[in-house]
Amino acid sequence: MNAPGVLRARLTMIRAEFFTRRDGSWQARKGLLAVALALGLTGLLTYALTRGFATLADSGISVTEAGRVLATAFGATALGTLLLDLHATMATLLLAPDLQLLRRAPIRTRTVLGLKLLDALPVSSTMLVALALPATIAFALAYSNTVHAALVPLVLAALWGMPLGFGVAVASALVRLAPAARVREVIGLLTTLTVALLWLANTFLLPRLADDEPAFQDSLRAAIAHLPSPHATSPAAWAVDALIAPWPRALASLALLLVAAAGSLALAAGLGARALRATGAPIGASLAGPKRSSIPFTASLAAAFLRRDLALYLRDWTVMSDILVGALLWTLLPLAFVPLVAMEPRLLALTMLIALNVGLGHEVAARALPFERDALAWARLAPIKAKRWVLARLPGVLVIVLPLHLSAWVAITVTLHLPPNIAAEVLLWATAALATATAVGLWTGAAFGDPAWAHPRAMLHWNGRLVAVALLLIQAAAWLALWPLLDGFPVGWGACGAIVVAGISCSLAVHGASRLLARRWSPPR
Amino acid sequence: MSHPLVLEGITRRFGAFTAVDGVSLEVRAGEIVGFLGSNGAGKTTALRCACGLIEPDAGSVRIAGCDLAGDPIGARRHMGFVPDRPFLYERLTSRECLAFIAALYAVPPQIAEARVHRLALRLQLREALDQPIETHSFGTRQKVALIAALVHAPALLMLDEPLGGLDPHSARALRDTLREHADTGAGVLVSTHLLDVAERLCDRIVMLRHGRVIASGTLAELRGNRADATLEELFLELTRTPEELA
Repeated sequence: MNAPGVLRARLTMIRAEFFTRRDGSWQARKGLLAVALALGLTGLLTYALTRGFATLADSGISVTEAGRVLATAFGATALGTLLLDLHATMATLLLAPDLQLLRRAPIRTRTVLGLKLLDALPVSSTMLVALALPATIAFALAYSNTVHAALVPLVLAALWGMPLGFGVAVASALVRLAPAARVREVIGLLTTLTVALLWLANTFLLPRLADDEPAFQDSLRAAIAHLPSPHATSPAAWAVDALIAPWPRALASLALLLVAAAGSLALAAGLGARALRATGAPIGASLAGPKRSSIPFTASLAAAFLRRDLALYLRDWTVMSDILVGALLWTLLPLAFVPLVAMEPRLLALTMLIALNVGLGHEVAARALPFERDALAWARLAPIKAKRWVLARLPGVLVIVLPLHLSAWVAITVTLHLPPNIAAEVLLWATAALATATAVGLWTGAAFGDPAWAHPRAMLHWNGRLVAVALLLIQAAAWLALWPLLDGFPVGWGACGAIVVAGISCSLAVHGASRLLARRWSPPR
Repeated sequence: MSHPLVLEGITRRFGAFTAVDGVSLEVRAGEIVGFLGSNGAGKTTALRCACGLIEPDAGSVRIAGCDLAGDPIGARRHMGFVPDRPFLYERLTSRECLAFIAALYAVPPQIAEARVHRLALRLQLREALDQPIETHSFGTRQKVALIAALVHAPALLMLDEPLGGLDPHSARALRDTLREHADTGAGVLVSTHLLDVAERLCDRIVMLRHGRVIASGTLAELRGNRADATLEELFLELTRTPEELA
């Protein structure tokens, strides 16, 4: 293999991600902004962790006890890296567009594997750079002279290599059982569920652990006591031991860690190469096609749209599950602030429903148009006005969001013992928020949809995702700001005002989405 | 009577690059026009402008008498398009996808179903009709896309490289289907690299180079006084680069 040539080509590809040559000069691409954002977030995390470990040290928490926190950060890094590696492996190792080209090249399968792992490096090292490294730096700053600095690179390399190897091995084994595209979707969903579980644990468990004890120092100790012991048999514990234990034990733990990482990488090399050899042509063909009940031919356009949307959503269960997890999280979000801000039941109910509905616009409506992928081209080919196409998507969206909206309203009304008039008022406000969020979501999908999406959570281009989150926050803030403004009016008038506001914003957003679909959207070549 | 397709001075730029430069052509009722050109000549861009997938920077498109810019809905009603990479709903079966597309064109269900069955039989697709599209090979997807474009019996059918991925039987069936459709009085514009296919199938040829029409006419007209020249020879001669000429 011409190693320098391959390396040059890889570097050119990396450069093309961040810079483009136009009219003889280099111009920055959007990818550079993503790196800047990631670095900014890493900086923020480093700062927060530094403050956190400094607080632990100032509170008299011992090195061993703080080591448990570091071990938790290492454990989260390993778990996150494993999931990201599983996903990255499927995306770059087994489904990459250049895979066939590389397989035809006169190079060994293990070399192809190495090249593809190199491609997966940015994703597979994300957690290491974003969490393990800042945590180690923060720990070393707070507990100076207790960390074996010389061993840090080896520990971090092992923490990266072990889940990488394991992730590649598991992914390689999974594609023998199911088509790679399906496995990748399932892993994508697992990633979402893990994030959801971590979020729930963080939101509900940790504040309550801290709340149980009156004194801050005791509550910290109580919280840390619930964390796994660094002496437990786990790679995270070995990593912490290698950094802070006395030298003989530190070296023994490091040896364990390195052996585990080397074994895991060797397993990956064997299984990954086999998977690469096996997944030449059959990736697409291995999707065995079960016969499905057919949607009948119909003269009604609305029925055709609804039947198509239902079939697409029901058959893409990874997207559906992702939506349901999202709905749960958005509803629970306001509860995260309950220990901090005392809320009256009426305001809490409204906040929860607005969070849910604004979130549903983001989760469901924003995906409605990109969910059609290239087939959205029919909106430009068929004799249907763009506005009609956008509006025809509404029933398909409402079939999903309305049951979630209504069941959340019933559950919240019952749980918070809301009187009927208040419950009705809250419902009207929340419905107005839902209508606006749906229309804004459709606009977001028309403006930033990515027809080539590979992950259910990434149906919008990355800049679109940023805009979508900003719009989500703006909507939630606007509704919560409008509530006290209209609350002074006689009963019912405030909710009517909310409906009027929703009507105006809906028509503007639908008009905008239609214009984008009619004029700007075109299928990728 | 209006021609199925009239392009007048179509121009499309991407930044400083002009992909299509003042292309004018017409497709008459009952004829099959071959759209030929080297890679990057602008065929796909011109076809996408003609079907409304991208807007031209200049020029006009008239489909069966309807101006695509002024009356897009009217124009689209008379047009069918088969792209080089089919636009299909992967998770639907072919039948479900075709049922949806037939509803978009307001084709009565019985007529749509009968057309789908007839075309599926001809293109050897009946077995695949109830399988999810994601399980289909590229060639099978191309066949589904062809049926989707024909389900409303359009006055104009445009195809972008339709023969790629088709086996010899299917390629033959496709050629027969196009001729049969043209014989009903429709116009067909087909872009292809396969010069022997163009020679046998097309009534007229339009050649494109660097986004411009460089030759147009029947094969006999293009041959001029070289009666024995094949289309391949003519194509290579006409699309020769200045360096090759030197």
